[in-house]
Amino acid sequence: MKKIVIDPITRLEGHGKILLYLDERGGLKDAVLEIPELRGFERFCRGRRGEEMPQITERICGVCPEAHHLASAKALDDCYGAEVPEPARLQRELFYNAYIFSDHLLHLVFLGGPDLLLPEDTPRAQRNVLGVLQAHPELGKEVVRVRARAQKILDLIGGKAIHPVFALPGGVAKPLTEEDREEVRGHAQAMVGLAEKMVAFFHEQVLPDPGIQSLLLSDECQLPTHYMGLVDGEGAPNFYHGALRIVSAKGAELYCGPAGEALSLIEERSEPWTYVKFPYLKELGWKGFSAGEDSGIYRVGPLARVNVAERMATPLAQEEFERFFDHFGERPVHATFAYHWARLVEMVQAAEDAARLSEEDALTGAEVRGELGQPGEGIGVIEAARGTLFHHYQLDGEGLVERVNLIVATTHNAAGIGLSVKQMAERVVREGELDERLLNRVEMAFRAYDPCLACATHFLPGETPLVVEIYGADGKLLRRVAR
Amino acid sequence: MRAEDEARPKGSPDSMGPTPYVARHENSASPVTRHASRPKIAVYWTGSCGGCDVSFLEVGEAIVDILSQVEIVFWPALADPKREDLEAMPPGSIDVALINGTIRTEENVEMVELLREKAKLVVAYGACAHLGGVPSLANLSTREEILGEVLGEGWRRGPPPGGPEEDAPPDLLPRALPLSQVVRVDYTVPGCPPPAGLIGEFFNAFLSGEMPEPGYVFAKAKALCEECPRTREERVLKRIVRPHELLPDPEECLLDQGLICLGPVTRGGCNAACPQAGMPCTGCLGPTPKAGDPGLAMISALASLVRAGEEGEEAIPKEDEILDQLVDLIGTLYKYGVPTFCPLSPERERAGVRGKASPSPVPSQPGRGRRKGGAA
Repeated sequence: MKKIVIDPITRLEGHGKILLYLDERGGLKDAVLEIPELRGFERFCRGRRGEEMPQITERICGVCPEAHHLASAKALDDCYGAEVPEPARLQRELFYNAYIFSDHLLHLVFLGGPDLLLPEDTPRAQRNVLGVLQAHPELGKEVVRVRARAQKILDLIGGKAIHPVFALPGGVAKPLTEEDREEVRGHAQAMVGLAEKMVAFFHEQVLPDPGIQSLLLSDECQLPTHYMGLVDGEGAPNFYHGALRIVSAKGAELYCGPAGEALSLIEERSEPWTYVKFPYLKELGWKGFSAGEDSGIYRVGPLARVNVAERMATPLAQEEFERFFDHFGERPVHATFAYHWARLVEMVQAAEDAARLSEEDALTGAEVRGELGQPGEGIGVIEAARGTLFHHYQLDGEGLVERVNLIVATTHNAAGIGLSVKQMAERVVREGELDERLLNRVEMAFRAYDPCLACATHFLPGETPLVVEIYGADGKLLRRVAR
Repeated sequence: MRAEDEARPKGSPDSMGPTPYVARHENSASPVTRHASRPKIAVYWTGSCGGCDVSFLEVGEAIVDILSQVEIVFWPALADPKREDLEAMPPGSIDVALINGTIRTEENVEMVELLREKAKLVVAYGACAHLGGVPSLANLSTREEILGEVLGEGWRRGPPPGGPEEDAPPDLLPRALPLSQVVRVDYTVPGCPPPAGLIGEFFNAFLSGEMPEPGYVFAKAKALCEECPRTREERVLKRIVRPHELLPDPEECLLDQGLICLGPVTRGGCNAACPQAGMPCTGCLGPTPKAGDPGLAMISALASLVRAGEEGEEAIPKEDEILDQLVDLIGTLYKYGVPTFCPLSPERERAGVRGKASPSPVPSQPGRGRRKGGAA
């Protein structure tokens, strides 16, 4: 047996390696994405002060700390039975849309970007952000400039852009001033401007590329799974709050209801060769690593959110949303590579929504803390850039953490990512000699998800049902344990 | 980027302060006076959140300028070179390796040893590499407890089905460690993540070839309070409140208002970002050289604030009463530095995690000669 190792996989958040096992004739036997890291937040959050959780759990991920920060705050709101006052909610939502914009932009240009914006035969040493800046200097510089402005919003409202400090149970740390609002408004308008430019650039320079078209439309790049995401009352994606909707691979609604209750629909399994776990829909069960209407495997994140949505919440995003579905001519869209495009659609909505929120009168209101009841149990659900994020806490009478349960975006996608990597590996193995260019294509399969492997391996499973299979040295199943 | 002068107290009498220019040490790993060609840099993450990698972008447009002056030879977050490319590089061929994250797995150890061999300079970048960081709070549990809880009792490492044994994921180390407990570290850029001003200060020094003495920490030696705009008047602690229990006055010192702010024992260099946002400092830049152990120093600071409001004999019971309001001492005082400051067994550490001050290894009655058991 021949083995090819891609180690480390690059331009993502966290550690991973891809193992390709080939048979004697060079055909693919198996392709595995292994996650060789674990930090164990599940244990050490216990005993911490509840109000510290937004600042502890955000250290799970420094690319999406804002998502953990606010999912945690929402769980704490629930733990304390607190109603968040309007000014505090507006601060959080505005902050959150600036984050979604900034995170999606980071991926579209710096992490996934080199795959989309540079020729495929670009050598490994140049296939990075600097390569993008050299190939597209004008756009590249503007991206750096405007991303810095979005980060300013995070800094201004959050206290710090990376690992913010402002969210507390029932509200936020302090009111915003009118001066702050003026600054934020200017930044948000610049975000909308860049979002429009990115859309135009995408349609002119990225989408027409035959290689990209093939990745979007060819049969072997489709992965039919179910999809999950938060929607508002009008059926548009909402990143901060809403009802949770799950649609099947064929587009049937499997669930639409309170987001917190959806936790009970999910089960997880672990495998000996990776530190990540694989959630699936309990009712459909685990049918191995296979996709389709009967499988329990579902996906989250940008593609899932546009698939569960009926519309977008803002006008420019709506236009792009329509172009997206017109291009594919079907719903749901199953092309893994369409994650990038869906990310662009969402980035537009986040910019427009940030601009709208910056105009809200109540944004600068003085009332930023809701009344807190006795601490208890609570669930917070939010759409992280990469997908649905659940925080579930139990606090004791002193407000210290007793139990924590967390399911993060990339974990939901773990099985889908594995399948996409294998799908792409099969395709490239057939194409011939596995050179750098073809191996990068295998990496492009996981990069479409913008995975955050630090998140995926540092979640806090607690009460989620879990299945462990124990294998002997010969690979035979010895024992199956379920909790 | 912020003016480096602000973060770097030139001419400071402090022994930990920088020296403006360093002649090259013979036989030392110290660089380069001035880089003849573009210096080669590597950035690597171990048990990390990725925030340190993203933090480079926080210097704004200046990052384009900085990146154009260096050659990135290895940086998994942003560039594609692989481990095999790193292994093929000659020893000492990388000018500087910036390493972030706590050291958590056997693979982390292999990688940082490899980088140490290939790099002239190794920089501990961020609170995890510097002190252990938030993930090193895991040292309050054993490795087996962590694995059992996360992956299920009975879970064992193994290769993918049909794969050779060597393809199993790397084992966790028994404890999470800061970088300096694994390889020699030349410089530190602290913070969670490092603030843009300190990153700028580092690159200014590095790119100009004017690096301070090895061992330098790129932050202020003076306490964060010195750069905090809040006004400090009372200097008396009458009660302890938690952040969600109080909407603090926007101008007044947080500690004066009863919030446990670690400003007095923590290095400056972030412009007091958290206190300015209305939240107490949690100590991510690490303790000042004067503070040493941040927990002990903070407890004595608190005790003196409590005493200041009392007279004579009554001081002692009142002090206990107030300090007993502190909960989760380790999480509050050692959030970023368990392996650096609390080298205790998990059992001992755990005893201090839950509930109030009394069962904690950190004394609730400081200043009476009892030191935390086993602490260095």
